[in-house]
Amino acid sequence: MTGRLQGWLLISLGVVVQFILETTLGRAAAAPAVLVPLLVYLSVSRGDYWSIEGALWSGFALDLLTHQTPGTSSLSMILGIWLSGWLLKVTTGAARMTFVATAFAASLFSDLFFIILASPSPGSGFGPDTLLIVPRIAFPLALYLLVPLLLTGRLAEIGRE
Amino acid sequence: MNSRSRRLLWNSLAALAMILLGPPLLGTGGAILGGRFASMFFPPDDRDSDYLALSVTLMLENAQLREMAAKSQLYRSMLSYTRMPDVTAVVGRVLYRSEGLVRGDMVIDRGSENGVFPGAVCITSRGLVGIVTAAEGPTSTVVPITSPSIRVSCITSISGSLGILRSSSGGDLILEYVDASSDPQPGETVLTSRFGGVYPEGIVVGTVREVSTGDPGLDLSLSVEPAVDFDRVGEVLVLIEEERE
Repeated sequence: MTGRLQGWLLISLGVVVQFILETTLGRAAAAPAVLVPLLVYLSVSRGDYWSIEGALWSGFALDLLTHQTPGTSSLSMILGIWLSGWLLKVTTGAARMTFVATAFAASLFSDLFFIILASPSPGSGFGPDTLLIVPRIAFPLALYLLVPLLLTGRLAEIGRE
Repeated sequence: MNSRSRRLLWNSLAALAMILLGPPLLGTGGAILGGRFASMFFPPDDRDSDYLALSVTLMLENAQLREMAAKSQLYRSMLSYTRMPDVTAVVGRVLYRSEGLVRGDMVIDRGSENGVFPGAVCITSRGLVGIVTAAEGPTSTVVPITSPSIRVSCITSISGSLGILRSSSGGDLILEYVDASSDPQPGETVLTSRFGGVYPEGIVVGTVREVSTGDPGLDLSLSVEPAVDFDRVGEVLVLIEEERE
């Protein structure tokens, strides 16, 4: 199986999981953000193709499934991942926490862009519920850190192929 | 601009285009596909519209036939009065009524052009209405028997009491000069008699409501309830003698 096919299968799985989480818990009710960290993971480990093409089509599929305006999630994820990468360029990139920090920032920016794009009028979607973004993003990343740590006593490592 | 930046830009623009054009395109496409999908199970049938138009036409025809049937029944009951030799009838619709003279004269849409002449008798299915006093061209004037100027020779159906029917100033019908030796009873039908010479014999005028003694005490005076509701007369039958026609 080629690496690209593997990547698309993984993204498809991520879309389905994200769709199930959002339809059962609701995006505003802190449904864990899985798709953006997955795209960042693929981008860090396999190249920028996944943060651009993967974000476009996975976001489109997710929008169709959740009855959002098509392209809203795509654009928010593309811009969020790009912005996080652009900001985190100032760091050395050698730290173990690079993926976690990038995924956190990308998820945060993606959600903020999503709120802007999906609101009926610009900025009207922001409110107290915006703070729920933080646990929504932090929960899967905490799992990513804790599970390997508890099982092997080491943090997970990501490197480019 | 390297390939990554170019791809990033194009994909961002594609996502933006999706946001702007996605809803109308999806809506239109969804409607078309939905229509196609539905037509697989419910093929359009031109006969439906034909049936609908036919049902509307039939409903209208049905309403017209009902109206004609109702009128036919009315005319048939009217015509039963005309089953006498040398008499025909024309149906006239009351156009309007003049004020005064208790009930007012009635103007009908049949006149001398239709064979109506002054002195012709007007009836309805219920009984005697009045007499034509003027017939000019397409219309004629009918004076009802409730007018004080009308006198009708009448007879009661059971006791055979003869008298002259007139209208009081208040519009009540009174049968006067009834022989005191006769024994009229309330509830008897009052008919036109054969002695008057103007009205055909046997046309219903009304029913006896009350029997009282006349002013001199030599005759009886009967209060008569008219058979015709003069406030609701819409159509009348004008009896025409064939010889005159």
